[in-house]
Amino acid sequence: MPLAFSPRTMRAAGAKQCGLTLALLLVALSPQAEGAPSKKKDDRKWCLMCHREPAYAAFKDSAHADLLCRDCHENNQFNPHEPVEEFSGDLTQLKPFAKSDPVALAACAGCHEDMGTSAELMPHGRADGALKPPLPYCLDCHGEPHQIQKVEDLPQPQRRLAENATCTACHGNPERMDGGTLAIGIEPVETYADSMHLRKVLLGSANAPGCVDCHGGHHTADLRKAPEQACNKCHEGATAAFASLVTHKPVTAAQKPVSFWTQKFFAWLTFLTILGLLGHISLDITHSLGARRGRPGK
Amino acid sequence: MDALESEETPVAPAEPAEPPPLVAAPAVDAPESKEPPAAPVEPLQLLGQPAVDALERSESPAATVEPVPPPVATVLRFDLHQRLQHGLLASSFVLLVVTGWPLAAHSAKASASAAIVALFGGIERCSGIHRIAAIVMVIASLYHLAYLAVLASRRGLSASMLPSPGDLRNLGQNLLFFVGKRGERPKFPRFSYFEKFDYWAVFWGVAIMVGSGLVRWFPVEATGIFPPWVYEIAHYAHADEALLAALAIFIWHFYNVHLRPGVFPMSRVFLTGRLTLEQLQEEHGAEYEELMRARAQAEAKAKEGG
Repeated sequence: MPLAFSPRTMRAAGAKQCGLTLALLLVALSPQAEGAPSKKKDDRKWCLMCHREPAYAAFKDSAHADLLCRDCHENNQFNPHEPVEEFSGDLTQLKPFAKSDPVALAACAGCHEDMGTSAELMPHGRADGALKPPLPYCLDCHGEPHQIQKVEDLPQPQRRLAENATCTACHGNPERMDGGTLAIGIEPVETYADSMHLRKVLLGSANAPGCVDCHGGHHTADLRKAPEQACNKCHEGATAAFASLVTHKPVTAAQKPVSFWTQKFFAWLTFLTILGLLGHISLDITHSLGARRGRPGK
Repeated sequence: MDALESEETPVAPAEPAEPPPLVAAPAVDAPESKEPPAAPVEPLQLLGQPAVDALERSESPAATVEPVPPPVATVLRFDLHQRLQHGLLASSFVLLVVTGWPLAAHSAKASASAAIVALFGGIERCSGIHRIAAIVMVIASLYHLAYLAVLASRRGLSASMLPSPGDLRNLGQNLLFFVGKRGERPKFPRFSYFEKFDYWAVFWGVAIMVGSGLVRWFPVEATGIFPPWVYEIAHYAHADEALLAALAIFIWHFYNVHLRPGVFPMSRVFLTGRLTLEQLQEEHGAEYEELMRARAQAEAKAKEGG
């Protein structure tokens, strides 16, 4: 893939579709398409002559099933369409929504226009070039648009697990998180995996939170400033002291000394106590069996 | 308690001035000693020499002056209050361990956790039952403390449950006995060192579990009152102490009380509250000897009085 922003999912969908999507950008930049569009109802008939596979079967069951091809692929108004070319311009010059997602300008934003400005889409909306590696665009989180499902249709906890999987795809990957400008590491994912919150999600709780419940989706709150706001969604009256308990820091002597030494204390207490008790029991049993063997008459 | 025990013949009381050898000493309850003629009337249930003693004593006019209830084949070890306290504690403990396990386990995906949660009808209900069982355990603990307070105000608490140097001696003797360097089991007092260990382990354990459990139940309130590190300690202490307690109870306590050779598969003392004199002599030799000595003294005194 020649372009740095290209989402994984598009890679999977194949170069042909990718080129198609990019081509519509060109039209978006010069939207005065010549001539009247042919009837959109003909879309399925004509487009699918060539573009039948691989996605159409899943598309019929997707949340986008009611859309027509050219609702998104706006540039291809004639059949057959012009050969498509890869976009090679400066992506950050695209306005306005394209600043966060060039693809979204042409396709997603046509319907999903209420997603906010890139400044509001913190921190994922920042595509100012200052951050490496590149931040995610629509499809990085939402996946292949021809197969997209409404997350609201999923029951809990499947919905939260799906949301968590979306976040951890990047935030659980050390290659993406350790390097770059942010260098936030995968500790948040690891500590969440050991938290009471995730345990309850995995055990089927409808109330326990996933990533998005605290951190938000499109309109991510900066939890470093007022983390208790997120806590208060469930724990009414939570204070900053309360929120300080969820730091996403690993339990080490340096990062969380109280937790660390509490665990160490109980680990040794339990080990030594049970060792002593088992030793006592073993001696007792050994003696009883020996006594029985020695005095078979008794 | 008195009413319940009145139909059973208690063990002879020691000198009234001498503190009873029990934490709870229903066997030396006063009311019985007020009806001395009634006690010796049923000597037939007695066996061996003590029965003969009792028969002789019943003919003695001194018995009406200095009442000496006869020894019996069984002695009361745990009265109804103690058995109720134990029952509440034990049932709430098992329920707490089972319902707490899924959230304490480090892999919530584990099938055992999922199976337990399914058994209780979902994680929310599982947590609800955990809290109800916790309340039962708190009630049992308060019941026990109130019971101790009443005993203390009535006739003074004996120190028989307190750790003493004799416990260390007994431990050494018992280990020597286990490895064959000593011919006989040490003569344990009313509460042997391993029984005292169980009692104080539970005492410490309940305090930790109730304290940390309350902090975890009311995290917002707790962090409003205490600094946040208190919650941190409570969070880890609750799960870790629970593991220690569960291991200690299900391995150590169960072995010593129910599973050891000679008792297996189950002791009924926690239900009946009674030990036979033979069991008493075997398991609490020092207490048995004290009992016999006290009885002999009382008898001697009775004869002097006559």
